[in-house]
Amino acid sequence: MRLFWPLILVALVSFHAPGSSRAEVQTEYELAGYERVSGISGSLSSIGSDSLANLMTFWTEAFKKIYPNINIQVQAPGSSSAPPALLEGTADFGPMSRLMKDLEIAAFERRYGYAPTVVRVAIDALSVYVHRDNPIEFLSLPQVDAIFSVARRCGALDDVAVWGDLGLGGVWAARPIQFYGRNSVSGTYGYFKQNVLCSGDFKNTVNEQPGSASVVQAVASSITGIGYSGIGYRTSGVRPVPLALEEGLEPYSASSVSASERSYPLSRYLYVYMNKRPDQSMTPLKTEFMRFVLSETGQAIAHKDGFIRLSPRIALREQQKIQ
Amino acid sequence: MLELARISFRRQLVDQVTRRVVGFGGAVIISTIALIFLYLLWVVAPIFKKPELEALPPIPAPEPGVLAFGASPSLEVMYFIGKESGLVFAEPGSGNVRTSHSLVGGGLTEARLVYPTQDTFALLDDHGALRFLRIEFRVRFDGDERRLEALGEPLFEAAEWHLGQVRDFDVYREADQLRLVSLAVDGTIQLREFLDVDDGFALRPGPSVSIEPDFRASRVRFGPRGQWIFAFGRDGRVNLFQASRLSSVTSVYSGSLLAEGERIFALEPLLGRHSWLLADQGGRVTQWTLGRANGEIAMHVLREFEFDAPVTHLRAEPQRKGFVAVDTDGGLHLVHTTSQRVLARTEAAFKGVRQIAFSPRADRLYALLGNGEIQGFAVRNEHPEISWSALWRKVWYEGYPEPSHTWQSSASQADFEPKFSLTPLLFGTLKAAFYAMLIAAPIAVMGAVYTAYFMAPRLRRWIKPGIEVMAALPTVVLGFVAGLWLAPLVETHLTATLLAFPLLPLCVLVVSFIFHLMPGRVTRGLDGWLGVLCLPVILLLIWLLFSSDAWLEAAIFGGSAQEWFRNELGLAYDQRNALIVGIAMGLAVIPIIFSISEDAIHGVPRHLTSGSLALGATPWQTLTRVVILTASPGIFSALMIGFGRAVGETMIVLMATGNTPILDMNLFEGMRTLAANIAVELPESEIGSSHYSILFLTALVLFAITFVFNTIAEIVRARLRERYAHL
Repeated sequence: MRLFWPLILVALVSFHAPGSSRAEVQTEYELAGYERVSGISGSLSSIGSDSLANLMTFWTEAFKKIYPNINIQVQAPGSSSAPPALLEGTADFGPMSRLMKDLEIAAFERRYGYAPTVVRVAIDALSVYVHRDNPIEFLSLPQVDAIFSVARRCGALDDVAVWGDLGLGGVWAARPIQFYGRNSVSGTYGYFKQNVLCSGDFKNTVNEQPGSASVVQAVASSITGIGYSGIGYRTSGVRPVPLALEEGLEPYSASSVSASERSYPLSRYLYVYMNKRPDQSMTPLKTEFMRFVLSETGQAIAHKDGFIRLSPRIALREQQKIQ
Repeated sequence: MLELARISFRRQLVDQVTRRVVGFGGAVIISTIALIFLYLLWVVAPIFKKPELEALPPIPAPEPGVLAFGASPSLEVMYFIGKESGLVFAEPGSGNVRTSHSLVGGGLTEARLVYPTQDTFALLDDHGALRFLRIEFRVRFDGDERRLEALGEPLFEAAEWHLGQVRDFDVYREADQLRLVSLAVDGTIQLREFLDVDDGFALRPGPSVSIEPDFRASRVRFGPRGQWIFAFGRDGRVNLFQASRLSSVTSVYSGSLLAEGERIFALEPLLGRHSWLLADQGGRVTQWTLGRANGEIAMHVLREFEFDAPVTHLRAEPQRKGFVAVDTDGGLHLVHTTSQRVLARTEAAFKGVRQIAFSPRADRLYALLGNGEIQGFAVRNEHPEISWSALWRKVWYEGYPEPSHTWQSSASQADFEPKFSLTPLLFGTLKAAFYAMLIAAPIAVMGAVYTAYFMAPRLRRWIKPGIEVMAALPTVVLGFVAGLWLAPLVETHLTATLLAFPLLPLCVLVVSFIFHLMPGRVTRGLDGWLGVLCLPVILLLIWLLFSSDAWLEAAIFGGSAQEWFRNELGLAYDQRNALIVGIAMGLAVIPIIFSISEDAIHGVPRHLTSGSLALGATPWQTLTRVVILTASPGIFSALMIGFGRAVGETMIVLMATGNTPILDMNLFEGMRTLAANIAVELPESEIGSSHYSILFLTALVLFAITFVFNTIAEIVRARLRERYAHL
């Protein structure tokens, strides 16, 4: 018989004096730059998220500069392609813009006997884009829900079909809204559905685009359009709309400041999944690549590509998962 | 003589060998197609297999007063939380205890799953203290031997919260949010938040708020995402509060789910808690859901299930929108809501069921019986969401304003209700093919007639291979150009595009007429070259139309053409629409139809046309009454092959439309076709899942469509050929 409730006394103490354990959290953490180690060679492949496509490519290029004799392939059809690829062993890394579903983890567990390891690699500010000539000032999340969804589960009462429903006047009042989104392979699609539509359904008139860049391109070419995509794909033809969590709350723009403070309502982590047996470490090449991504060097690249870097505390915590 | 025999022998040999080789080739092709067909059937077949509930040998529960029980996802271990025995892990086959752990204090009165987790329990003891326990199963490796470790982990370092005497309570936890709602003995509802639960250090109480329901409630539960609170009375009354922020909790709905004087027999939220199952005394289970009525939030009935005896226990599946119902006769019924099917029922009666629980993946069902035994059931129920009527007929989904044909197959959250209606996909496929044929068929057939019959032979030698080369154009390029260049162009020049359809043929007629009026010495030698002469005029007309689009739009539609269509005809306009697909796919189909019909027309025997002309018929009469009739079997099969190509075409539709699964013939809206849908969704679907099988079913449907059309085409062609063979 195992003693199972031994912490009760300690817990009671900490219950009444909550400051004690929290003080440690405030300590300063700092990330170190990546340092080259010897004896790294071989090849890597990555299959997964389209939102992470550019970033993975930048990381692999920078990593190849450090280790010229390695070979890395990046494929990016969408997040949902990562779990099957990891399961079948066709990829070493599965970048994803959402967490794996229970069923995906279960399928992996059935094959290997343990769950895949997940590491947070950067923060993305998912943006709602409109045409650059669109005068809309900001939107609340329930409004975005009413634009895109059938059921309006976030609580908005009325459907939004024309720009006038959002308070625009003049020529805009009667203009119908054209919707652009990603297809269901995309993790962004899943994230948007879960967090913006409150797990509701997209309207069946939302145009599905194969990639993040093509959503932005479609919005740029259609004056009445609205679409969602990562902040890294912003172009001059579109404008990200500041978003408020609820009607009457302050809207935040998808700038890196408000996203890293997590006050921007749609900031989300981006993940890399890998197959790591809990009691063993991965091959040196895989470990080094992840160390590189989570180092100051790797995070600076993420920042340069328009993403938001992880806080040093989280980056250090993630580093421990790959040891 | 000998020589002749040798030649004859060689001939026979060659004949035999050729016959065998050709026969073998044909057999290989037919068997390959049959194999593909069989493989599709083999993948699809499991979805129509009947679900089963098989009773397993009962095992003893650790104590009669078990509060909660369940199993590990792998079904290797069962767990029990008991009043006296604490937490017990046991073998599911025998009930032998593996380990047991005493929980602090003892004397538990409640063990309730924290919503929406499947592994965290809120434990209430007889002093009114609330604690949290997570049950975890970890895989360990001893060398290469895999071991499953089962353990109970107290959350928040086993801190407790004094809840006191309550009639009911519910806990919600997701990431950094922990919320507790309780119903006090005096009937008030208290909603409380806890702080800093993400780090799991302590159970620090945060703000709280009191709510007064407008009747005497007996049950209180969180709704979807913990942002709603439901209060239920025994008589079926319900009060719903929106509680996304503690500072603004408002009552948004109040009503009754039962008729006057009835009472609730059982109440259970379906996965996601968007709808509630309610059993009444008449053996009816009703699914109520959150919706809108007259611009306000309201609950309404989605569907009803009738059972022979009153239902006393309901339990929802943990991963799908199904549930199990136990009636007073001791029968267990496995039901799925979306497909509205009672999937399976037990044959024997299991009297005195006190509690039921699903395993995490719903492949086992456990019932605690009155005699203190656990009755397990093996559940074989892989694809409950599929039924013939759910695939083709209207279904009323959760949160939808009305029953609808909807295709929306996936989401990243588990509480999603998949919507697998094939109707919009089949409709979209036919819609795309229809508009493509509308554009391609007249151009291709008339082009073929002109090329074969009127065009100068020298020009024909260039034109025909030229158009055939068009067939080699990769469709992905066509789709790409259509989506990225044509779609925005047509959106901004809609009037010009629409005008081009009547004006271009008209322009050709006018040019031909002018040509006809010109004196013979001018036109001599140019007879078969008229098509080339039309070309610059057509280009000029297109240029004129597109450059004067703004003016035309103002003159014809008095403003924006899109708004005119929307206001006057009720047609919505979408940039990626059937017009674009019609043009792009029309271009892809034209070479096939053109080439085959041209061959057929060109192949009409000379003696027929010469005979007709010699008898005094004009070339036009000869064409319409002799040539086209004789070539009609060929033209017909060209059209059918073109149609088959349009039905199966993937890349153009995928790239040029928004893949919107709508049921609307509107030329200005898009579609989602069967083929494009397979291309988009197959890479993400988990092998063996319902989604995967349904995608294969759509492949089978596609196969069936082409099969049916080809068969019709072949029959009609044979008939036509027979009729005109005597010419």
